[in-house]
Amino acid sequence: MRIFKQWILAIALYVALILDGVLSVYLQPILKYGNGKASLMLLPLAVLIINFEDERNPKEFWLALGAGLVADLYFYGIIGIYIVVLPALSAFGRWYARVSPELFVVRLIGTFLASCGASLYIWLVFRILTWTNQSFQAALPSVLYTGLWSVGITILTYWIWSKLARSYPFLIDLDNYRY
Amino acid sequence: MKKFFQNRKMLSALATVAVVAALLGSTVTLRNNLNAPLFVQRLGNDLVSVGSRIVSAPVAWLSDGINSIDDLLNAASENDHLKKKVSELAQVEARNAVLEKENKQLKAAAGIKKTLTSYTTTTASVISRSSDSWSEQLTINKGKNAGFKKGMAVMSGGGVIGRLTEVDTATSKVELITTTDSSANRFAVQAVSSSGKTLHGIISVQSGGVLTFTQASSSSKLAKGTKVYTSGLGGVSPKGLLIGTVSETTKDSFGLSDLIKITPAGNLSDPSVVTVVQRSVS
Repeated sequence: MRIFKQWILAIALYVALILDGVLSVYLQPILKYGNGKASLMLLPLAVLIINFEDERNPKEFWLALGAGLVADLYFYGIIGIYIVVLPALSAFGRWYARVSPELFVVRLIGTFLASCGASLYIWLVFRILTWTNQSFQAALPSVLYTGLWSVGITILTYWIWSKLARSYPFLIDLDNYRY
Repeated sequence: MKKFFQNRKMLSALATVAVVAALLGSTVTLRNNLNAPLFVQRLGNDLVSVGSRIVSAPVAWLSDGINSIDDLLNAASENDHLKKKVSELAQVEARNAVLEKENKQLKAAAGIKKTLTSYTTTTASVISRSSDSWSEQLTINKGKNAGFKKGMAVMSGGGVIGRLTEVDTATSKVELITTTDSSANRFAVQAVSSSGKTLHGIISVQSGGVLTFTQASSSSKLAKGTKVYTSGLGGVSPKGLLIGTVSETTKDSFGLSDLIKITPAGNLSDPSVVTVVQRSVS
């Protein structure tokens, strides 16, 4: 049970990865807006919120790296997209939590900036791989739309990830601190 | 320069970029060249897909429930439309049966067993979709176990929507026909012009995911509404799968050749069930 508690966060990220893919199938019509289309970022936002709340645990970085590897292979069959995005969000989340005031609105601004940055990186990689031929100007509405969707998802899911990160930090046995 | 090499942060950043570039390059090459993914990747994908199947079942149930309300609201107009179609269907079926019989007899007389139009189909459910804004990839719940092979055509909603790009043991990845990936295989297609001549070409994608009939074998014009089918000449897809209908013919940006735009016949926006087509002639 003690070991299971240490891995709860990893299991929750696995569920977020699955939900990301499954909900992307069914939410297609509402993810599109004009020429833009939002990315559903449940998994990246989960990693970001976890690191907002548990910014002192460096093991979260390795969890993000592992989750990135699995997500890359599952969604694309190549390595180099989520394996960069998730650890980068993990590092950004920890840095942002240290330098910014602990206000929910400030965290939402951080979420908007981070999701737009992640979306831009994904566009850049696809552009280099020629998986998309959209220009920067054409991609920009999708990036901004993703940012807005991410703010909404953060509002809905913040408390879950916050509770999980505080109660079950990755590979840390909190029972050692209880007596 | 000496200062640069002493800056550990800068060196780490450079090393990270180099590693990511190498990983991307090598895995993209592997993805394009391997007929089946590596064992570790297959295992990982199949493990995640187990979770996807469990989660997608209640989500699909909920989605179907919402859609059925919409269906109920449209039932009356749909019923009128279908009644007209049903009255025409009996004649089409009868004619189809006669032609099929005649086709079989002619093939037997000519000693032909299988042609480019012979194929078998397998139905699969979409369990996942890439969540980003730009790539067009689906994951379906059948793979090598169902006899799937890389490159097979995938249909949904009455038309071709893409092809298999990766086949794992119990799942497969589908790249939609609207992908702009320049390394993706293109469908070889054909259409009959208003003068009765058959034009051959391939399907390309313009910006915004617009399908076009390019590299046409003749300068004959294709009228609006002309149906475009696979020609079977690409080596993987059978002949006669509907791609879409001609919506507009304009000149390309150089004004030199025709740009034939096609409205896809398949359900590209929201496919939840797909049909994988395996051609009989290898």
